[in-house]
Amino acid sequence: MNATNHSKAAHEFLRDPQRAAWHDQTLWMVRSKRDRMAARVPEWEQLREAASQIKEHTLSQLAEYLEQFADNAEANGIQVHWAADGDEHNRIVHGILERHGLRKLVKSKSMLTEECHLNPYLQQHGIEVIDTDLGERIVQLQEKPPSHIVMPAIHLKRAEVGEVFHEHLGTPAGLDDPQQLTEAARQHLRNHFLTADAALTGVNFAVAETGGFVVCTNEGNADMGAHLAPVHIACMGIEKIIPKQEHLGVFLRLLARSATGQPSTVFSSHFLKPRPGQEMHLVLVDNGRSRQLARLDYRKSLACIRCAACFNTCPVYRRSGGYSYSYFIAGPIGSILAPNVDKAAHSSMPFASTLCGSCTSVCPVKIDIHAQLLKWRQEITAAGHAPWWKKAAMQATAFIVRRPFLFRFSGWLARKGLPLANLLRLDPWTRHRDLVDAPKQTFREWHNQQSSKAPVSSENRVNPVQKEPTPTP
Amino acid sequence: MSRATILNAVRQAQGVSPASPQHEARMASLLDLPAIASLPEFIATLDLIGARVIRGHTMTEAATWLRENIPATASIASNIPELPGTLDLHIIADPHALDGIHTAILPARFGVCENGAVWLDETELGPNRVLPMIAEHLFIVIHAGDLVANMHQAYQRIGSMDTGFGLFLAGPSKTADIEQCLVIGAHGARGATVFILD
Repeated sequence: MNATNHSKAAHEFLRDPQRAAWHDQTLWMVRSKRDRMAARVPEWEQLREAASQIKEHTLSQLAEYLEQFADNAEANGIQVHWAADGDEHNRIVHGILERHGLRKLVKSKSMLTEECHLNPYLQQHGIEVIDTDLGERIVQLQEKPPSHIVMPAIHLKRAEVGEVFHEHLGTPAGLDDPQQLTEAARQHLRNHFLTADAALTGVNFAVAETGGFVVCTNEGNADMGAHLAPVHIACMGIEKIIPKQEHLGVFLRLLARSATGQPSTVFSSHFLKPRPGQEMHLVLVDNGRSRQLARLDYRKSLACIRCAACFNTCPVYRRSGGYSYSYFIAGPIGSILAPNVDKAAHSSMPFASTLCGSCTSVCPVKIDIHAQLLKWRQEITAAGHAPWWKKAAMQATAFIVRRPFLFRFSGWLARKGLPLANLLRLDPWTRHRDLVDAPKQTFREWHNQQSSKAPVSSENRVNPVQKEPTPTP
Repeated sequence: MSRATILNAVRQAQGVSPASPQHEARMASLLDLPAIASLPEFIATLDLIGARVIRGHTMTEAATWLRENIPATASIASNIPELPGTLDLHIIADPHALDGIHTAILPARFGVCENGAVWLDETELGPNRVLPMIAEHLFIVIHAGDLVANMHQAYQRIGSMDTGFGLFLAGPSKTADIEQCLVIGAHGARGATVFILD
């Protein structure tokens, strides 16, 4: 892995410009739906502020809330497990299955299990793992990871899904109607739900005061698994805690509107106790979260509710696709989470951004994503993970801007040379687009024209350069 | 095994800054919003999320609608005594046996106008938590007076949950995982009819 990783991978994605444009437009449509839904809630900004403060408060007293949650969950009859890292998480899940001799697990969407690489671990131990979210099932059959955390197969065209289903589910060759493909998946997965030994779900919110947790889906797959199987295992990162049940009102109003532009997910299921005769397990996972909690610059990244609004709005994600990112959570939020896991391996991700700040504007919990991206860039560069040419370019820039004559000269050169840069594709940016024409006049020329009587010089500018220290009165 | 290790690590990490203040004041201001439940809004939202709305004044009208719209041979599970189903839910111990149910008839505790969701917990569901997902169709009965404006009011109305499971159910199950094309009927019900009694 090196720092050019994202741009190289994005170059591959952009080899098919039509597909890239389609990907861009599809995600922009989701972003627009989000905007329409948000606009219908007059107190939207108040909700974001409340969500942000609830998360900030919870993170500042996370240990206390975790203890309260775990104690209440245990009192409710849920078996609580603690995993310091991904390996321990996988061992715990496998241990539960092994104890009962369970061979077949149906799984709803859980980014945490993706993070811990649970599927390959269980498969190595002879467990059959069936992802049950439609998008996740499609990419699982392709033996690929999700390219988007909410819409895992957003990068695929219907004909490609048709091919996957033809090969694995036996649908007729050439069938590419979404309605019929979904029906085929429904029947295929219904069969798995009815024959599963255990169900695994993620957790959207865990409530400290009740010891219960909430799982949100549109398809109903988490519920189908959890309410049929004799054993339900829910896995969550320790940052998913909120203090009170009434706080769910704030987060559920924000989540679906931000994620897919729906007023609510179809199923918002509140699990408090196992049903009679069922075993319910909950695995609390740290895996680097306590490390991120101690880094004040990045602590707020733990407030994320995984809505992916920042993916859908990001001009870089939309035009480069999820597989261009080196971490399984792509997009802006992935780019501030990944360096905490491995700064060197994911050193290119914080650079895969224009720092336009659109991610921060749509984030329902007000994470300062673009500011954190900039901080990671500084940290990654200081740690020596930035490519040499990037450092050389910054040093050259620093050299030039300190010398007014050189600065003016290079400005002139850049304006003259721009058509040539477009022609020769000198800048990586110009591979897929032309740089805009430079204005005929420089800012300095324009400014001098506006105030022709007082041309700008170091002596008479708005903040004159001090030659002598100002005497204090 | 790792409980103490994790809690220690978290305690140390959170200690690098002072505890962030409580957020109760802001929550209170959200609860004080002048939001009033409105039946037209509830109906419009149900329409938006793909649920079918039927209005009536008596349970007899609901029974008539069901008789006219559900095949005579279909298996029906009901938790509403006035609208009896074809199978006795109390003798079904294994939830797998519910596969193949054509329609589940369920009473909703209350509805939420802003998102078209209805609240059901084990009081309404009975012991079969999987019923609203495993049935092919849902027939939900709700009283027009049992509406709240938004989710803040919804949680106030729920208060402290005294059963082991409850859910907000908003329309039929759906997916848009193939090219963002909306398909109604993913793993849960293919259709949801909400019968509003007023």
